[in-house]
Amino acid sequence: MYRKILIIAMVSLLFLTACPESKVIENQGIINTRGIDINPDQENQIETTLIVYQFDDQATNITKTLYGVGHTIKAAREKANESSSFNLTPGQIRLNLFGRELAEQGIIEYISAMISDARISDTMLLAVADSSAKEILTEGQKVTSINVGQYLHGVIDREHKEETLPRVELNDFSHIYNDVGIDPILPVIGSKNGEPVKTSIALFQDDKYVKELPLVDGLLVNLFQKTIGNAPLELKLPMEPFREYEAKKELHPSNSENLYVRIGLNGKSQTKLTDFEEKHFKTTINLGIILEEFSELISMKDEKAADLLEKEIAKQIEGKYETLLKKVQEANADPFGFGNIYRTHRKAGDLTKKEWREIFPTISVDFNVNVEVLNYGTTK
Amino acid sequence: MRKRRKQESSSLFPIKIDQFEKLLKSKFENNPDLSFSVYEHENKKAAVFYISYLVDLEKAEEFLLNLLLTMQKEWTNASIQNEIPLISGDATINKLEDILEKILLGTAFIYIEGEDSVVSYMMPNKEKRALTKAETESVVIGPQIAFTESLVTNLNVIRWSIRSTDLVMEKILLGKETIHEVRLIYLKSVANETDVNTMRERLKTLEVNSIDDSSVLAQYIEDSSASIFPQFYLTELPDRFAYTITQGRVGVIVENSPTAIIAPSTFLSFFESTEDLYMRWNTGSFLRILRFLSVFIAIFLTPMYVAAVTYHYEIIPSDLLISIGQSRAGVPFPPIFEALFLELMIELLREAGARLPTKVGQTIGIVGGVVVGTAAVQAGITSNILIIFITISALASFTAPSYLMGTTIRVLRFPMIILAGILGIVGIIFGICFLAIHLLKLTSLGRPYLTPIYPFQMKDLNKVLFRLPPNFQWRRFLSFQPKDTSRYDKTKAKKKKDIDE
Repeated sequence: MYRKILIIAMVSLLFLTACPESKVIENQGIINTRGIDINPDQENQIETTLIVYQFDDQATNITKTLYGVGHTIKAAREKANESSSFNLTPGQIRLNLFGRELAEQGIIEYISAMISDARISDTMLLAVADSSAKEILTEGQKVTSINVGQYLHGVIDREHKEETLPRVELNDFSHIYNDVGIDPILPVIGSKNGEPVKTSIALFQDDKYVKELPLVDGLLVNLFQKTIGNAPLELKLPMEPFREYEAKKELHPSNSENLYVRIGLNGKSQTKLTDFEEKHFKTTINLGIILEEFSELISMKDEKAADLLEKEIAKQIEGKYETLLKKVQEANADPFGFGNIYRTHRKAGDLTKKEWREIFPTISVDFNVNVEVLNYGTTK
Repeated sequence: MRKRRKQESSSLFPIKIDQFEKLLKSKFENNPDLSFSVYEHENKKAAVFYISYLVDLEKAEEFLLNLLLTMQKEWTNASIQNEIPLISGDATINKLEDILEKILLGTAFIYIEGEDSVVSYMMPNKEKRALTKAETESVVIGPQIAFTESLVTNLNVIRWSIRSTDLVMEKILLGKETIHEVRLIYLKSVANETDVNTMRERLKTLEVNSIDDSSVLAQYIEDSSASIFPQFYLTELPDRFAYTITQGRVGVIVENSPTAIIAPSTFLSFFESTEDLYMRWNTGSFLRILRFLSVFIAIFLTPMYVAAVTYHYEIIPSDLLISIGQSRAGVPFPPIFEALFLELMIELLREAGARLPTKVGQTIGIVGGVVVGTAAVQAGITSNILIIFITISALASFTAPSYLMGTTIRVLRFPMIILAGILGIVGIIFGICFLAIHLLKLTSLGRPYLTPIYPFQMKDLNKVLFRLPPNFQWRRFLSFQPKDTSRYDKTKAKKKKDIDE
C-alpha cells in the first residue's frame, strides 16, 4: 500500500511539472544583430536597433529592422516588439554593435547584463560603430542585399580567421575587463557609401573607448598575445638598399622610392620583465615569413638579398611596435597585457587597476624581432 | 509431460487384432488417416499400421510390406526383425501410450497376433523446405544459408559447422499439450557451466502448453520479459550460431523454428554482424562504428530537431536557422505533431511493405516515400528539413543486423519525440537517463547486458566496439567467463610459416 502511494506520488511528480515556455522557431522574431546607442532625444536612455529574422510564410524578405528605446536593453527590446507580431528573442544574437558615443561613456553595464542572461550566446562578437550603430545598421541593411548582421559578422569573422585581429567575444571582453593589467580592443565599423566596412580598431580603457588605432595594429596585438599562422601583412620598405638586387634592371629600371612587400606572417612572441624596478620589458618576436608579392622586381637568388630583406622587415616591425606602444601609453590603455606580466612579479600578484594606470605610461619595452624567410614562393 | 509418463499402464499385449484395431481407432476418432491393414500368412495374422502421411510410404511398401508378405518363415517378432533388417527396428514396445507417441513421429508398426509386443520401424516423412538464403539477416559476403524449420536439418548444418566431439546437443522436450523438441547446444570444454546450467534449468522448469516458435520461447525464458530490449539474440544464420557457440556461449534451437537462440547476449552484440568478421579488420571496424553511430541517429535525431525547434532555437547554427525557419513557417502544427506524423508515415510504409508481397511492397515504398513525401511538403503539412531528418533516422534504424533490435530502436523514438516535445532537451536527457538505468539493470542469462562497457572489461573492447587484426584476437570474450579463455596460441599467431628457401 505504502509502495503504491509512493509510485503514484512519483508519477504525479512527473506530470505535475510545468511545461517549459515553448519558443517555436516560426513564432520568434530572432534577433541576429543588435545596435545600442544613446537615445539622442531622451537623457539616460538607450536606443536599440535590431536586425531580426521573421519567418513569415507570405513575406519574401525575412529580415526586418526594428527600433526601440528604454532605460535597459530588455525594456528597449520590448518597446521594439510593439511593432512586430513576432516574439523578439535574443538567443541568436551574433553581433552587438555599440554606438561611438555610448562606447566612450562605457559599456560594461550592457556587457554584464548580457553575460547574466543565460539565453544569450557568450560567443557573440562585439564591435564599435564609428558613428551611431543605428545609422550603420539601417543604411547597411538598405545597401547590402543580405542580412546586414550576417554580412558584418562575416566581415569581422574573416578578420579573426586571418588572425589579423584578436578574437574578442562577449565572454572575452568581460574577462579582459575584470582582469588587471590588460585592456580590450574591438573592431570599429564605419560606413562607406552606406556599406558597412571595418575601418579601424577601438582601444578601450577598461570599458571606455579612448583611442582609435589603425587596422594593422590589430595584427601586432594578436601576434603579441598568441601564436599566429600565415597572417597577411603589407610592409613599406625603402627601395634604396634593394637597388642592386633588382631583376631586369637594364630593361625596366625602377624609379620608385619604396618597395612594398606582401608577406604571410607565422610566429609567436615572448615577453619578459627584465627589470622590475625600472619596469623594463623585453619582447622577443620570432617570425617566419612567406614572401607573397613585391611591388618591384626583386631577385632573391642572392643569399645577401634575403638577409637584407629579413633585416629590413624586422626593423619595420620593431618600429611599428614602438609607435603602437607610444600611442597606447599616451591613451593609458594596455591592449598587450604588460600589466599581467608585471603583476606576476608583484608579491602575491597584488596589483590594482589604479596602480597599473599610474605605472603603465612609464614602462619601457625592448622589442626584438627576428625574421626568417621560410618560403620564397615563386620569386626566387 | 513427465507426469503423464508416470501413469504407466501394464502391457497391452497380447490382444486380438480386431480388438486392437478398435482400440486404436477410438484414439483417432474422426481421423481417417490411420492406416490399419491386416494380413494373413501361415495361419498367423499380422497388422501393419501407421499414419499414412507421416511415414515414408515408398519405404514402407518396399522394405516393410514387400518383405513381410514374401517372407518364407513363420511370423514372429524375432523372425520379422531378422528378415526386415532396418536399423530402426524395435520390438520392445508393449504399451498403448508409447505406440501413440511413436506413431505421431512417423513410425510404422507390425503386430503379430499373439506376440507380447509390437515391432516398430521408424520411417518418418517430414516435409521441409530446402535451405535458402537468409531473409531478415541478409549478408553480402560469407555463408548465405539460413536455418530452416526442420530440426534435423538444422542439427545437420550445425554439426557440419562445428565438427568436434565437444559439441553437446542436449535434448529437452517442452510443452504440455503439444510436445516440441528443443536442443540445448554448447561446447563442453568452453562454455561456462553456470550458463549451461541456468539455461537448462530455465528450459526444464518452463511449464507451457505449447511453444510456437523460438522467439516465443526466448520471451518465456528471458531475464526480464517486460523489457523492450531483446536479451537473447535470435539468429537464422548457422555461421553466426556456430561462431558464437565456439566462443563459449549457449545456443538453443527449437523444432519447427528457423531461428536459433543465442545466450547470453550483450546489448552491443545486437549491432555486430558476421560480416564484420569476414571483412578486413579495418573496414569491419568502420562498419561496426557506423552501426553504433546509427543507433544514436535513429533514436536522437528527430527528438533533437523537435527540441531545438520548439525550445532551443539558440543551438541551431545561424545558417541552418534560416532554412529551418523558412521551411517551418508554412507548417500549421507544432513541431512535435509534425514529427510524430512523419514518423508514423514512415512506420506505416515499413509495415505495409513488410506485409505486402515483395513486388507490391516495392511499389508502395516508392509511392509512399517519394510521392507522399513531396506532396506533404508542397501542401505545407511538413517542413522539408524534417523529411530529411526522418529519412536519415529511418535508414539508420534499419542498419541494426538484428531485426528485433531494429524494431526496438524504432519504437523508442516515439517516447523520445514526445519527451522532447514536452520538455525539450531536458526531456531528452530524462529519456537517456531512463534508458541508461534500464540497460544497466538488465541481465542476459544472469550476465550484465551492457558488458563490456559496464562492468568494464578492457580486453573485450576489440570484439565489441571495433576489431583488430586476427593475430590480436586470440582471446575469447572474457566478460562471459568461458572455461577456456584463449582461442589459440598468441605467440604462434604472429609467425608466418613461409618456407625459407
